[in-house]
Amino acid sequence: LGRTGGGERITPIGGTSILGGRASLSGTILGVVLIRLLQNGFTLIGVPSLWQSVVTGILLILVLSLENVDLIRGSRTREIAV
Amino acid sequence: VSAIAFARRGRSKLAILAGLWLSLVVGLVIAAPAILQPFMATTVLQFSTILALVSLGQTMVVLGGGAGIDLSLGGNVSLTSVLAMALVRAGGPTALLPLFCIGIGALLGGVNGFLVTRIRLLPLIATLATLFIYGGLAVALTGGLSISGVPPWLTPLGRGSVSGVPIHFLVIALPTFALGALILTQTAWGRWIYAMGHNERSARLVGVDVDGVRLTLYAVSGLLAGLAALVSLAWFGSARPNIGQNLELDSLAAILLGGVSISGGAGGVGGVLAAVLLIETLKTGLQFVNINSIWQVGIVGALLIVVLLADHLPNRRTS
Repeated sequence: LGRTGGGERITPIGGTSILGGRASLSGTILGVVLIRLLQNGFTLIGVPSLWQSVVTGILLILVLSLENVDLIRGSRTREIAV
Repeated sequence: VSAIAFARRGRSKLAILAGLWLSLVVGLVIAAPAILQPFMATTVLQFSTILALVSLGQTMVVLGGGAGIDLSLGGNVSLTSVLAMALVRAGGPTALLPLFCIGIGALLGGVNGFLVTRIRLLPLIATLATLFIYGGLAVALTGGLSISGVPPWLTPLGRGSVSGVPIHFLVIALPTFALGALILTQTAWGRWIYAMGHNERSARLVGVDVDGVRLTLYAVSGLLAGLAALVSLAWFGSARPNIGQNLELDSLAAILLGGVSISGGAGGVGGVLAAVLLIETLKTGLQFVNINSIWQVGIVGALLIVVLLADHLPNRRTS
């Protein structure tokens, strides 16, 4: 499951790798916890509740994409893992 | 697994599903003899079309491998029906409503494909994020309210039936599945899908444009979600922002029951259609004998475990 191109290292907001190199069940559970924490935070800073899941999704893509852009740039010569 | 061995497994899978379906029907008839009416079959098929279309999309994405999965399907169906209706309400020609659904669905699916193949997000994460976005947008844009005003010429598609078979099952679900089977088994494109799902590196080495095919698979999955949205519009006469809820998980259950390998490269659409019918028969039947819908979810889960175990045990003994 975890051996697809480029998606192996996932580093969320704090810069700590929660998946540690490959996708795993514990990583998935941690991700769920992270999203719940985010949504709790949204309520505190006043994001309208209807829009919270939209913001969650956008944030998820933004953060993970930035990390991947970094990865791809850092290892341009690396063959895409299969 | 050789192709022959897999075809044999596919047939035994169909036999297992047929056996389960028969024992389910017998059990239901014993529990409630009144269930034996033609309109029950119509009801099952009426509910099957949307899940069947979405499951076909899920099948395509999962078959293509690379940890492929489309969790955004439910959100896609909701958002597509809401946006297509919004376009019509904003003055778009009503005749184009079916095209709007298909186009928007494919576009939303294409976004998934872009995130997976170009940004290289893990499919699980990319489509989870878009599930949040699509499902969230559908609710946020409408404030949770339905958008009415589906043109009357469309509703026969969603509500009519020909000798007990719902029209949308006849003219949308069955042809789409036939086309899907044809593409997967008879075209080079289908071979590529199985090849890259089975061994992505080999597929790349022999020159398959894996990323291109995969991007298309996500777009096709979205297109099928758009078709499902169209059926829901025709059926309910309005765009409901929560219409797609749980479809992504139901479709996953359907494809796993139907014998598609979650790691890609193995499985076919026949088993998936059989599994969809089994799941919808189960849900409709349990509804009829007044079993709480909370239990239905648990029973579908138990069914999944039973079928996967039945599939897994002989393998373990031989290996």
